[in-house]
Amino acid sequence: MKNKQNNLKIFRSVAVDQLRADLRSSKSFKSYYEEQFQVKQKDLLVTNIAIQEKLPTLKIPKGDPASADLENAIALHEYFKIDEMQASDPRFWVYLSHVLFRKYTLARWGIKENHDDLKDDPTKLRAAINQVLEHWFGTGGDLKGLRRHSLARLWWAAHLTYAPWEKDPEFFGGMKKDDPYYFTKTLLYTQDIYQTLLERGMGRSSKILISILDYLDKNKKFTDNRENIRRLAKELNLVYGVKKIIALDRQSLQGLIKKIAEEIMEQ
Amino acid sequence: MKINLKSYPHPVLGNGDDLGGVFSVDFRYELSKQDVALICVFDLKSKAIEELIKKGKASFIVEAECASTFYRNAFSTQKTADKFIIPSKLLRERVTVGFYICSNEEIANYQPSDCHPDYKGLKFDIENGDVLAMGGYCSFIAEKEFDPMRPPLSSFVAVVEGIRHTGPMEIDYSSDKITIELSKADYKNYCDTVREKAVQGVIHASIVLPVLADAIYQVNGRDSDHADRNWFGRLESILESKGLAHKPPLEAAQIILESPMARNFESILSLLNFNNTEEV
Repeated sequence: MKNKQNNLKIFRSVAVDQLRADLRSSKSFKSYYEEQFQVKQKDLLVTNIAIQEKLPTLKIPKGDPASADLENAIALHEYFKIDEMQASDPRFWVYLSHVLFRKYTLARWGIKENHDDLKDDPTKLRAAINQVLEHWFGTGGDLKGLRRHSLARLWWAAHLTYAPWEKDPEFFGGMKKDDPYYFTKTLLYTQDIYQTLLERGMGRSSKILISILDYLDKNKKFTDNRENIRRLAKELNLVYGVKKIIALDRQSLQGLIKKIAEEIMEQ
Repeated sequence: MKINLKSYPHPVLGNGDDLGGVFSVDFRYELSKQDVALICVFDLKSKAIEELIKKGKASFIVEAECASTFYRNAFSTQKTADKFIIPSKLLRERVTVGFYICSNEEIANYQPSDCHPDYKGLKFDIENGDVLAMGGYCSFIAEKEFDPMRPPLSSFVAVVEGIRHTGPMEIDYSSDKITIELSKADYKNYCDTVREKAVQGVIHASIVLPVLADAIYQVNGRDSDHADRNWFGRLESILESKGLAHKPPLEAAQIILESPMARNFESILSLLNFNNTEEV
């Protein structure tokens, strides 16, 4: 039977501002321990984003918190067929973390300290509130913030690495794989790869991001040492200062990455 | 156009006095529902680099970046006037556009004339992608409704209640808006008075002005940690469009707030007159 389609509702801007203000003032802080959330219809806006009635179930990891990131990233990306502009709208993600995937957000990014231990200590309380702002709101309203949002981080990880050969056949044509999420696996191989590559501006270029992931994928010995990845990103960033590596052809870019990585391995 | 001077391993046109000549760009953008067009006219006066472009050994590079949508791409051309199209769905809020001339291949023994005396007699081996000239960068807001000439303050500044009962106001630059956090006691007083027209001048001068001046200081500084924030792009765009980019921060803030000090004293005088009238 065909799954029924609905149009997704999201929070209005004013509702997001109010949620954020209530959290900042600590008025609503306690509610970020609770699974229940009362949504007021007046706070919602119907979008033109069509969704299937049945939401994907996100896996809640028991051991390593990042162990289910890949599976969840693919599930979210397959379900939400949205464009970049929609996916950079904080109203969308705040609704998802507060309402649709609240249980997941609580389990993966909930506050570990007891509420009673925090409420009378302004410094600890401020730190806990900032943590909620990061993972439930995506502080900043840009990708630097959304990178830390419980769900946006997963969707974007999948989106930025999904079948690059379809998005830019001229550049990535020779890298075609059977699995469209092939490079998502490398990006989410460790949390460190994700953080290191996406925290720098050059990671916004799919040419650079995928070329680095391609190298990491083919050189596991290099990739298994997280210090190597950090140094590679740092060195490439330095080179970017004098050389527009974003304008290089694929072969030249891959050659440059290989050269820098080999120099790191030799040291 | 802003320029960040750098230390390159070879002379670069536009990087201080490395090289004599000119590389400037007349840039404008057009926003439509479907696309954003980047329209560039390059003005290059450097025999050596003009020659490299003619031979296909170098290209004009336009690098566009939008932190909000994780977009970064470079367009390459050898024409002195060109137009580049980006689908609108790939851009949101601040878009920065940088202009360069880069080599397309290795160039041995590069020795442009008109070099700074420090480079006299030296030859350089240029690699593929090396920057040969920089034309600076600029930014715009990819939002048709945003008018930097008449910006609503609430589009980039918010006053909120903090967690402390009393204490100084704090500023948070890490949100999409510049967030001014008042203590609970101060916030209550703020809410009780902010809608009164008579006190708005005082509020602008005492709360918003110092914060805005500090924020402008951040925008004018190089390599700000907050460059990806939405407020940063909006404020940068306002400064640019009002011709305030090079004014001291406090002066620029007063122009944006439209004479807050004068309105402050008008507010105080009107309150004093009101009190005097009441006593009679």
